[in-house]
Amino acid sequence: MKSKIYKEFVILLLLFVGAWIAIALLRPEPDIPDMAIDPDTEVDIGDVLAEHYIQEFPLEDNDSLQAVIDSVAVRLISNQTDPDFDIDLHLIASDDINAFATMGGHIFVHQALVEFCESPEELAAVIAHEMGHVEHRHVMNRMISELGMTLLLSIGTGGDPAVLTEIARYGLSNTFSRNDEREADDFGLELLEESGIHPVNMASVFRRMKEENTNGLADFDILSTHPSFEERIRRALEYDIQEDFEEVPYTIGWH
Amino acid sequence: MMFGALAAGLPLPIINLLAAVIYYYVNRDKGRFVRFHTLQSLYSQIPTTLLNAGLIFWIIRAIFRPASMDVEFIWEDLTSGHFFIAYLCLVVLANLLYVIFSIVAAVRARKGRMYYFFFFGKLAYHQAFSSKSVSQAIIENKPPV
Repeated sequence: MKSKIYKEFVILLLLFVGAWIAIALLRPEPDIPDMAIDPDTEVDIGDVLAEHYIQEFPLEDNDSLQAVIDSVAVRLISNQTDPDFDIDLHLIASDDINAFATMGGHIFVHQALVEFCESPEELAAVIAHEMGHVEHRHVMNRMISELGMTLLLSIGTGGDPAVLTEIARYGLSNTFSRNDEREADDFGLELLEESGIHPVNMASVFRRMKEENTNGLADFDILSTHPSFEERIRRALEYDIQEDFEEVPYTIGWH
Repeated sequence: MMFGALAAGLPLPIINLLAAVIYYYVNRDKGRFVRFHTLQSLYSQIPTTLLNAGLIFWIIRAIFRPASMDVEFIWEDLTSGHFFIAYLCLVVLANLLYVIFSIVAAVRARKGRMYYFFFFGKLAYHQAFSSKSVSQAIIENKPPV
């Protein structure tokens, strides 16, 4: 009798653990909404939104600064593997330390962010993160799931300007999910490594942003999208670099 | 007793276990048949209580993580974890199974039939029928001292 009790206990325990693992691993992934709009259409929509953002945010009229961020980004862009989008960087004249990606490859970088970075490698880390949002189409996915495809497609085909304004504001005001941020971080870290930039630079810039944010000195939208940036800093620090990694510093004169 | 214990245990999982323990101790001398069923109920209550407590602990830990008190991010933190969702499903299933089998056992017991849960039935039977209950102990009529 006792042996049967033990046997049934073990069976029950194994059933529980097995069911737990099975449900966790076999959970179906939700449909990916970005399959509904192809990259070319996203570029069209992104171009319209970018024009709107350019009208709303004054572009920094600083050719040398624009040349600096372009030269930082060109190394990242050239090390991408089969990108879906051409990256278009826009420098915004703003005192907010921020950068954001929109649809179709457009990335807006605030001037204050460039000045906040202590090295071109740190700026590259931020841009690489935003490129992660672009390549994974996070903005498009979020917009489709929350606003619907019809509304988005109307932008690309010249819709109501008032609707465009509201959608553009929505794109700026809402936040990415933790999974989106993690994907963008992972993409950015890999891209940095591929580009000969040490991934620790991402942790470095995030850490300083966190310190500034804690001191109330700045409101970092780039980090306020999700509060668990301690975890993101830790992940960047623990990133496993390949043995044959060779760091190639930028030769750009910085500050 | 089962529904009352379950309802009492919803806010704090330990209460339904306490209710089951109290019910067992109050009814254990009413014969082996009653003793067996109350013991079976108590034993099967233990893992359910532990699972419920684990779930509450997991949720409280997510809420009181230093990173965020924002409800939206807490829910995202929880639901982005596949193992949490799987655990939540198992807890719901365990509670459902407990309720269903308890009802079946109650119906059978009312008809005077024994009903055995998987594993807990054997455990309770071994406990209830292997030891001498008070009612079946040899009563010695000794004069008062």
